[in-house]
Amino acid sequence: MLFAGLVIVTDATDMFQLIDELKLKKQEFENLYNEYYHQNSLLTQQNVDLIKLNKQLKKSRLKAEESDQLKTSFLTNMSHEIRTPLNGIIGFSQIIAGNQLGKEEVHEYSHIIAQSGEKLLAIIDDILLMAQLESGQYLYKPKKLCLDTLWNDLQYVATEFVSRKGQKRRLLLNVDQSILQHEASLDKDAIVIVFIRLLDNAIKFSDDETPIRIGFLKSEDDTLDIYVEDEGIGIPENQIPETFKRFKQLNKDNLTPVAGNGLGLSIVKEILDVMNAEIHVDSTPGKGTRFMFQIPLQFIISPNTTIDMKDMLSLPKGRKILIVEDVRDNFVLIRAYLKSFKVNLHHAVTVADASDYIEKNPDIDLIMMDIRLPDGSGMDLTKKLREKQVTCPIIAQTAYADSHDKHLCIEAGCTDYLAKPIHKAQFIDTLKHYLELESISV
Amino acid sequence: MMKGALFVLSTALLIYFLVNRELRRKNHLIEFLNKSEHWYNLMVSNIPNVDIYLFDPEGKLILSQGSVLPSMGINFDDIKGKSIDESSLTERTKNFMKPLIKSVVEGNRIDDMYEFENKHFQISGLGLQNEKKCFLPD
Repeated sequence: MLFAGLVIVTDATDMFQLIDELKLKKQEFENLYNEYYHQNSLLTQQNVDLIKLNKQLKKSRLKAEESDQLKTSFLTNMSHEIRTPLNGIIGFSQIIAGNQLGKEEVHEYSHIIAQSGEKLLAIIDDILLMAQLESGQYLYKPKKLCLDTLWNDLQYVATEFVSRKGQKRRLLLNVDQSILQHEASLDKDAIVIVFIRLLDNAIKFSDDETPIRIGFLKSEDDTLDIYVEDEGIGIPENQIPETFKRFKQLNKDNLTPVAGNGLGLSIVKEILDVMNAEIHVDSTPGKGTRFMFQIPLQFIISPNTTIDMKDMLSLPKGRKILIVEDVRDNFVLIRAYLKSFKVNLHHAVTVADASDYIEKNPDIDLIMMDIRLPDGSGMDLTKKLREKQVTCPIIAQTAYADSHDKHLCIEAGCTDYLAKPIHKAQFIDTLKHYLELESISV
Repeated sequence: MMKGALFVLSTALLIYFLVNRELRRKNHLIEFLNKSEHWYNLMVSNIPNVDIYLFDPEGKLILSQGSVLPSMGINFDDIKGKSIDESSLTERTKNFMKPLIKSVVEGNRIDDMYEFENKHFQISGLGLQNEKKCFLPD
């Protein structure tokens, strides 16, 4: 069956062109959208970065403001703290120089000058330490150490410190004898720095008649717990965190300011942080405070070969010691320190003198080496001596006082290091140690 | 006689009036159809890009109107009343159109897009049939 046919033809070319154009437009739109999306993502990221930057800037601003306040506090504090001992040094030096004084007066004034010098040195040490800690240059260098040696050193340091403060404090010691024969990986210098500052704090905030308790124990968590406990004014609980902030000082009676640069406990906290150690403060206002720091212990199991230092009461006689020192006053000081000991002392002013003397005297027992010499460096000389198989102890003595310099000296081949100003007791002790070791090895 | 003449006259008058009335009705319808065709032509001619063709069952073009073929240089008068084969269209055009027209007059429905001579066409077609299954007017 056939039909009549109706056919409708629509020319859709334009429409197709439009569709193609639309497809192109759509593609362009998609590209634009992608570009927009990309830009939007970038902007969002930039926005996030800007917010972070803004937060950092706010923090930096707050830190800068805080630093500014700290700087002001620092300058105010330091100005006072530095001028006070300087006043004693300059004043009494002038009195000694200008007047005919009796022997007792000279002795008393000299003692005051020495004490003021010690105070000034302590302030400078604190400032240098804080600068090192702030710049991240403070190096924590644990090394194998017998806990017996550490405990002896802490006792010695505590006694010396109390005596230098001109006090006759009773130090009540509490030591866990069972750990003393062990060796552990510890940084003795860092521990001494922390210990001295806690001791100084205890002395400052308690009466002279009250004892100070010092503890050297091992906890169940394998930490070495060292504490310093006083019977002083104590710290209100809410003020304990404040004590570790720089330039924050408690007053004895909330009225009388206490001497100090306000850096001691902040240095303690920062060094303990570097050591990964913790500090705990137990305090009761009016009864006393106990600062205890806990150092993670890593025992080293090895045969105990430590030497009993108690037997070393004098320097071995007739030993040949060379002092390499270009400043005559410093040599005179060392000579004065060694006056009462029968040692054979020689003085070299330059690297050339020292080299010449050592070449002619290969049996030398110990060398005190200054680092900065007129014709070269003491460190270079030490390196050359070690290359020439000179094995005697070489003790570096220098005014460069930071731990990095000490590290450099040891690397150069020095056996030990003494920072100027050199205390007599410390000097003799060091000499004793190495000369006795020499005699044992011989 | 008079009666007869009167009857013839009245009958003649009646027929005249009836015929006259039918003529007038027819003229009126013709005029209406002409107008209708005119409006239809006017409408279809002015729809852009659309052609409407009506084929008889033998595939001869009965009616065509629109602007697509004229835009391709083909005059409707050259193809009206002719089958595709008889028209003056190009062989390519004939080959393109013939299967479509054949399909429609066979009663199939088509509705698709076609591409021809770099142009795109939407072609819709269907077979027509009145209630008496008669494709042409009685």
